[in-house]
Amino acid sequence: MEQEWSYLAEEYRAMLYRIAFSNMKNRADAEDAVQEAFLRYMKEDAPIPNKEHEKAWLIRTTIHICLDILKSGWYQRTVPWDESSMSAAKNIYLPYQIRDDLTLEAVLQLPTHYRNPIYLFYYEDYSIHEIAGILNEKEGTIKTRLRRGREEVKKILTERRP
Amino acid sequence: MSIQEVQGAKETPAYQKKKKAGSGEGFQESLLQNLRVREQDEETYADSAQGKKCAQEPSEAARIGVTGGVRVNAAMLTEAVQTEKVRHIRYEESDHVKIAVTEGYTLKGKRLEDIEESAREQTVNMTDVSEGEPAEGNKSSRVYVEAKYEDGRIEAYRVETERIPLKTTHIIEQFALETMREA
Repeated sequence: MEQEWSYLAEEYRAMLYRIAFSNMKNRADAEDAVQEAFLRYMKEDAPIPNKEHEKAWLIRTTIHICLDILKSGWYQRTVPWDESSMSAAKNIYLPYQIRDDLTLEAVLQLPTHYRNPIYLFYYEDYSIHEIAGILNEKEGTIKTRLRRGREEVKKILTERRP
Repeated sequence: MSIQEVQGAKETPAYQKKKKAGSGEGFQESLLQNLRVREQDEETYADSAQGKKCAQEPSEAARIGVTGGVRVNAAMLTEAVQTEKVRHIRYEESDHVKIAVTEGYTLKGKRLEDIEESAREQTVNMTDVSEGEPAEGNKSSRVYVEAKYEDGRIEAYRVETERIPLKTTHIIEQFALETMREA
C-alpha cells in the first residue's frame, strides 16, 4: 500500500498540482486540492481498471475538488494572501520552457469550461479523446470549447495590448 | 363518403403564407456544405488517430473549415520538410516546444538522431527502428517535428535543416532551426 502510494505521488503529483494551480491560481489551495484527490483515491472502493483510468480519475477528481472549493461560500468571501496569484503563469512550473507567459496568463483567466480543455490540450498535451474522457464530455463539445476558448484568449490578449 | 369521393375531391389549396420556392435553398446549401466539411474532417481525424500519415492526402477544405486562419495548416511539404511517422513524443522529451494557443496548434521538436538512439536502446529489433529513414542526408542535421492541431490531427515531419533556405518564412522550417539551436 505504501509503495503504491509513493508511486502514485511520484507519478502524478506534479501534473495534478499544475492542473489544480491552473484552476486555483494559488499554491496553497492547489496543494490542498491535490492532497484531497489522493485521499479520495485511497478511500475509493471501486477498483480502477488500469493506469489510464487511474490518471483520468485523478485529474477529474482534482478538477472537481477545485471547482467545489471555488464555489464554496467561504472561498468567495476571502481573498488569497499569496501574492503569486498575481502572476500565476510563473508559478505553474511546467516541465518544459515556454516563451509566452502572457498567453498562459490569458488562458488562466478563462472561465472554467474553456480553461480546463485548453490547458489540458495545449499545456499538458492531452488529445481531444483523452480530454473528453477526463471531463466526461463528447469530443465534439471539447472541439467547440477549444475553438471558442481560443477566440476568448485572443480577445483577452487584444484588450491587454496598449 | 367513399374512398373514391375523397380521391376525387379538390386538392387542398397551397398555404398562402408558404415561403416562395428557393428562399430556403441558400440555407440548405450551406448546411450541406458544412456537413461535407465535417465528414471530411472526421475522416482525416480518424486517419491521424490510427497513426497514418495524413499529410500525404491533405484535405484543405476540411482544414480551413475547421481551423480557419491556422497558418501552419497550409504548410506544404518543401524540399527540406517531408512527412514522417508520428512517434507521439512528450513535451518533456522534446528539445523545443512551441505552444500557439491563439493559432490553434502545438509543435514539438527533437533531433531525429536522439530519437533513433533512444529507440535503439529500447528495442532489440533493429529493423523496425530504421523504418522510414532516408537514404541520404546528414543524420545530425535532421529534426523531427510533431504538430498537433486544434481539430485533433497530429502530423509529423522530418526536416533536413541543411536544406532550409536562409531566410525561410515556413513555420515548420523555422521551428526546426530553433530546435537545432536549443538541442
